[in-house]
Amino acid sequence: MLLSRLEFCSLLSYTPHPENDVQRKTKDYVYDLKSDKQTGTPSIPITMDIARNIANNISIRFGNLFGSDVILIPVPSSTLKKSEDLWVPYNLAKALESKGLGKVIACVKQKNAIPKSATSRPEDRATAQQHYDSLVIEGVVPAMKRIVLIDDVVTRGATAIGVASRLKDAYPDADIRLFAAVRTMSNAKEFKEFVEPCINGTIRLLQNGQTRRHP
Amino acid sequence: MDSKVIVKKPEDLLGPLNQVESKFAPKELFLRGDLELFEAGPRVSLVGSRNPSEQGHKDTVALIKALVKDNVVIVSGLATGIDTIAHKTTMSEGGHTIAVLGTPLNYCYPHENFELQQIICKDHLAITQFAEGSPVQRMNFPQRNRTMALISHATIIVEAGKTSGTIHQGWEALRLGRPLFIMDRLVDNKEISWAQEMVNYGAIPLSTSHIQRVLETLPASGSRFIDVTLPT
Repeated sequence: MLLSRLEFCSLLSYTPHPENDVQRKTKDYVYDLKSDKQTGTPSIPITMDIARNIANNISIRFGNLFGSDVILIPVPSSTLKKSEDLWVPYNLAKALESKGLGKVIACVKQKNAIPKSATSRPEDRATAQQHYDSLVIEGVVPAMKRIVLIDDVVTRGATAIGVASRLKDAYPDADIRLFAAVRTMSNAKEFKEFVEPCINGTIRLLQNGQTRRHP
Repeated sequence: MDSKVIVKKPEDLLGPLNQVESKFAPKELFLRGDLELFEAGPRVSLVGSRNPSEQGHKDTVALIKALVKDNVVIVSGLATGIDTIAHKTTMSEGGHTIAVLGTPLNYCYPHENFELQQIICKDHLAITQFAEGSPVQRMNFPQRNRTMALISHATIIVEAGKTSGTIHQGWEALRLGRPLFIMDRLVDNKEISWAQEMVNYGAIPLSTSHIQRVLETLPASGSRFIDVTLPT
């Protein structure tokens, strides 16, 4: 059954329809995040840079989200993947794990492909129900009390509701939340700044089956 | 061809490579032409059949016109067919084009594109991973296609048959996490199983009336690499 609500946190924000140079840089950043490019000198993967930032600021933000008892579950791509394909949410989860912010269990897999949210027109985007129906939990997974889903970008949150709902079926007592490195500001006018942590965001399932993220 | 050959590592052009990118990246690239094209705008590969249909020709022209208008640098492989149409249309539209060769720079294949290769080396940019004197053999071309996927921000397969070499590029783009677009005529063609299979693995069906979808996936610039280390 689908969850009606999911809490989320995020660190950065970007707009896919930039109107100025700052916004254009955020779009470039997200392109590079989706390729997990290297950044800085000496260079490290962007996912590691994000994990480092979170670990260094854990006392002032996200303190109650991460911890050694937290299970980090990377959100699967909405399409199928080969074992050697790049999977950025997994890289991000492993980077967070390396900073002592949780333990990665990549147990949610896609059993069949559905339209990619990131490249679909709004009217064609898969619903939370479609995501839920396309997912399966694989392997023998121990009981989990605190779960944080890890994703690179959150837009409407349909994928996250689908994954969280699938996990809630298997682990009804677990506290499940989402961390996304970046949240999408579809309307460029609402974009404030690149590093704009969101601590208490919510994703709600609407009656028409769509999802809405706030903020 | 009087311009000098410049030797670069892929990292010099693309920034440090991650593990997935490094797997098939060539050690060196040999370049002739205008290196500034690498910074001129986002780079999109257009690849396809050596024997395109009339529709394939039309689609290529329509795509190039829209992409060049948005400052996209067009990458292709200097083969006959779609590649040649892509390079020539880019030039006639006043855009910039990069040819990624399956031969050394001092060799031209196919020979009928000798003049086109000369123009690209003079006014645009030609790239190869094959040093002068290295053999020209069949296996060069799939390697070239992987390199083309690596240097491009996105790839569009315009038209291709059941066993086209462009299939290598499609799978490599998906492996790298780069956006891959396939014209919807191919995806709907039941005789071409690879196109639907690639969609299952993340390729995006495309029609010429929705070229905006390509532009939305691209970075805003063709900058070598961003260096936004987050403040701690």
